[in-house]
Amino acid sequence: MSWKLPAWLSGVLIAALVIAACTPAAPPTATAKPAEAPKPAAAAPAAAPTNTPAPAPAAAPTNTPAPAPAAAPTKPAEAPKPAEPAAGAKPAAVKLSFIGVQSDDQQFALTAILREYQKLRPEVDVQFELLPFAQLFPKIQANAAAKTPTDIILADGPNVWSFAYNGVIAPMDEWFDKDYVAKNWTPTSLLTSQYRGKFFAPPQMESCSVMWFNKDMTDKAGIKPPAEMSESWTTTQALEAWQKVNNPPQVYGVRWGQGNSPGQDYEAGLLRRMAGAKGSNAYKGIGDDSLTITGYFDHPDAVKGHTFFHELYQKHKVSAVEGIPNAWFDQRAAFYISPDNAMGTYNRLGAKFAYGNTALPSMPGGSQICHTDSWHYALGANSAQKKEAAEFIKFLSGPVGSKIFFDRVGQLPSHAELLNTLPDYKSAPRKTVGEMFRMHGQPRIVTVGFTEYNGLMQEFVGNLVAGQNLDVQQLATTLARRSDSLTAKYKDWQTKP
Amino acid sequence: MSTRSDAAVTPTLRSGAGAMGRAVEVIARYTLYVVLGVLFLLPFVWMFFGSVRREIEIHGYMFPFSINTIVPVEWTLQNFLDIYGISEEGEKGGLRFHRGLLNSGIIAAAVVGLSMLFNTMAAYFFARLPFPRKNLLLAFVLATFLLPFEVTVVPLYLVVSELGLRDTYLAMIVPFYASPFIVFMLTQFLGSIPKELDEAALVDGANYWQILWSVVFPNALPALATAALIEFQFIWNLFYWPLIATSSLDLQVIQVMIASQTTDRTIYWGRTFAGLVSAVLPVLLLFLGCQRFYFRGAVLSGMK
Amino acid sequence: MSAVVAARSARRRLLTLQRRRYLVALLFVLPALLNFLVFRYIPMALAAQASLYDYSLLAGWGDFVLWKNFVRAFEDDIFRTSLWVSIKYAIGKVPLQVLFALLLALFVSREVRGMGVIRTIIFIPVVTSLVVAALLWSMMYNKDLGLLQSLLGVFGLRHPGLLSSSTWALPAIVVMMVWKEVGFSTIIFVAGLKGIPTMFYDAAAIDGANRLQQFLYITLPLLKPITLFIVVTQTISAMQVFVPIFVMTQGGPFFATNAVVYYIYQNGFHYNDMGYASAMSFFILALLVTVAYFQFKLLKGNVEY
Repeated sequence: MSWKLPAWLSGVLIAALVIAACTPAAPPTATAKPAEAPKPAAAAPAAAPTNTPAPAPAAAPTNTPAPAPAAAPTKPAEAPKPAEPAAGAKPAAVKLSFIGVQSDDQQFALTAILREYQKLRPEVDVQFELLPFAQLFPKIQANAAAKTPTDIILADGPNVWSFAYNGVIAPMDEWFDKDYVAKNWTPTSLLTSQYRGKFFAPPQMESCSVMWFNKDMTDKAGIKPPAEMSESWTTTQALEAWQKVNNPPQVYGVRWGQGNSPGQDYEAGLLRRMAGAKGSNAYKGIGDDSLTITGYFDHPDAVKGHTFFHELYQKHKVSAVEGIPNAWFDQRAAFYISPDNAMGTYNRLGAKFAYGNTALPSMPGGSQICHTDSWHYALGANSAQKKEAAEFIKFLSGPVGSKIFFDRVGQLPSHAELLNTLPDYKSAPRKTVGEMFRMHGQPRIVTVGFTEYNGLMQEFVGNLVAGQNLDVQQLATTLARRSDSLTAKYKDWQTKP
Repeated sequence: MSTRSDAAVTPTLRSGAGAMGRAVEVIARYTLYVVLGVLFLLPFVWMFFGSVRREIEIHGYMFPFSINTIVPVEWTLQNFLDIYGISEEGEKGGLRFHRGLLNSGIIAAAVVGLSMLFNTMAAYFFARLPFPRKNLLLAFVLATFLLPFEVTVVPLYLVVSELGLRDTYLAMIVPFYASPFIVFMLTQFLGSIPKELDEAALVDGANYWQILWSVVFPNALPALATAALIEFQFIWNLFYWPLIATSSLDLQVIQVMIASQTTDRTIYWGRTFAGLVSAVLPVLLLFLGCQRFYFRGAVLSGMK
Repeated sequence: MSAVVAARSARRRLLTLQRRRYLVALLFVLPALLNFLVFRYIPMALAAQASLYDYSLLAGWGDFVLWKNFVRAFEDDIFRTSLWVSIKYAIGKVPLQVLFALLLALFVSREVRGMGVIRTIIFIPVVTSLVVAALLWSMMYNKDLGLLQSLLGVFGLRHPGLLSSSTWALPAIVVMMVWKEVGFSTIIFVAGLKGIPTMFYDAAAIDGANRLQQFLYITLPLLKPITLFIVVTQTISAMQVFVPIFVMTQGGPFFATNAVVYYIYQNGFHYNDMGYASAMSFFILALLVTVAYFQFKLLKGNVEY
């Protein structure tokens, strides 16, 4: 008795085996470079970065840089010096791996910066792996567990300490000396970049939320949000304004935070700090051991802030309990608390209404504050090419890289000189953002246990938004206690080798 | 020997009631068609039309419900142009969903091909072949899908890394060349084929391999086709594992590309829909092609 | 004497023949077993090891804590609540899905006009990615902007917000998942229905059995192995529900949808405690084994291999 396989099955099996056998190893090309990527000749060692960054081939937002001298420190010594020997010898190809967060901005910006870098170091290539936000952190964790040799990690500011504590990223003092660091970034920015006296990760950009508003709607309602910082609203005044324009479900008064989920510490955690006077426990948000939040997160003042947030949704109903996508951009919310990337999103979505912005309100008896800090470039501890990676990081975070980045992303730059000289931040609407940042900017609580805290915070905010008949104080105390018990394991963070 | 009309496979209304009864039945049937169609398809109809709308329009006409809730006011192919990297926006953003479709296709074909072979062999073993304490072995097989994937994903990644498969096509193929779920399912199906057939073949001097392919296989076609379909759609829709196991853009599968349209600030609904429409079509076509094959297929012809 | 020798050598030959049969049989299952061993058992073993340690993904292997993680799970209120949420979910979803699948299968297994289209239609949700389906439905359920609210508005009704309600969030997810997966169970039932020889029905009809009796006494019993299969696998998969919660509700509001795998995920990836997460998973594994065992016993009847 003979047996025959039906022809189609044989075909499938053969195909499958052939494919499985012939799969390539990790493919060579990585960056999705637009077709017009320049192919520079071998760069001369003495080439210093030009003061004005090369204009991008694609249409970038039209912010022309300030007069050349002020834009970048011009000493060639600052530039990443190609390490290649003198003319003749071709340097070995270097391939760096970079993991970060997915967004059009990051994609454009990073690719453009790489192209610029390749004018100086043509042998360097970078494989950008950009993931959706919710999957980025698990992947970094999986890589850490498997000791995958990633070279550069785009770490969210509050996670830098946690990564440093766990040895996931390596210190970079060797390439970033104290003077360079002090010159390039403000002390606020450095709060999360440095850990236990060592420099770990320079910031990619900064951030600071302000309150954007739909001018068509506010004009119609006869509201005039203050243009000057000195006249900025209190939360009581702001609430009045929100209620005036509130008309659910077509239009809500305010959307507090980016995206359409209830939120996490970055924006939803503002009110609890605003509720305390500067320097008070509520304002500090965390104890001096950088671990304990009982007594700070659930301080009666802080609870006032939590309650105000809760009431926006359940009592005054000026915010949508179940988030509306692109609420402000779709004209379904009149006010919007967000950093200045709102302007880029506005353009990208093709929204068509007049808008303005004003400073975040302050709570009576409390203070004004905006949460700062954004992504940082960190060096993977398992990287096999630390020197090359550090050089590229230096370029990314340096004046040239920061400028290219700002041109595409349009969010508050972290590079001190850039921030001080960009004309954008000297006039509306970005002026408010710059001032808010300088005068009231504070990073989120800086602690090794931030991921644990933020995970709990997400739950907490969700409950504040959806819950009715809440005992906010009790909820806050429960969270604080849970967070402290989860972060207890980090007690040795200041002395751990 | 009764003829096998498929209409009689399940108990049906015998035609004693006459033409009136038949008309009622037809009306009832078509009503049910419509109800089922609406129930199952409404989200997709919305999504399909959403893929040809401008981004800002997609949620703009929800309330009150009108024809424009579903049907676009302004029809546009922009989303598709974006995701295939044809438009400038798409090209600059590095979008190339065609590559994602190709990658998904490659690993799906490979996995289905390999797993059909190995799963069938394993199911044949459990259902038919003599072996001491087979049931214990089967229990071991079943135990493997009792741990949630989220817990084993990192250890699996460690194993795959150690094997040097990280960031290759093989990383997405090799862990799935056999599947406990499919083995279990096929064991059930193969078990219901009468054993007399095997015994008859054994008497004729056939070995196990020959029995498998000439006797068991033809009778199990509906089950095998079902298994192939299930396996295909499992791999096609797999998202988390390819995300963790590979880094290169060239290896990205379609689901990861679709998920990348969700950033922390905004979800590009239009592109997500367009991507989803692109991703659903191949599976649907496969299903349409296969279902004629196995729904009308061979059933226990040996019994006659 | 030679008879005994002959008998003994015959027995020995018989044994070798038997053993050779077993060996050949083993070869059939070996490739699959190898796959399960390397890609499922080893990771499971690693997870088991992790449960005995203070292990976190970022920090690596900490102290050996033996039973501490398990004791902690035992005392953890939230773990208990999350277990209960998963059980509630399974109790709601599995019977609903099996019932609908069976009814649908009876309908679509007929070879009449239009059935091919209907089969495709109920299968479409199955072939789409769960992540995107969850996204779609979360938008459909949206209190202000959702398609559901819109449709209800046509009749003058309005729902109070499903995903933000601790009463309705879980049922809403059940409905979505049944919609998504019923097609899957249906085609398995159809394959089973097709496997029943018509002569059984013909014989019964001759004996005077009506439609209902045919269904109860022929169809149902012969579908037992398939039904068992679907119930067991669906229960296991329901207890492991994760993606819809991750996408739509993140465990809220107030833990109403905090299913156990989501809690495990939180501990492993948010709270940097993979050891504890693994310990909880093994609790679940033990639970699932017990449940599956009882389901087998209950539904098995005389299914044999």
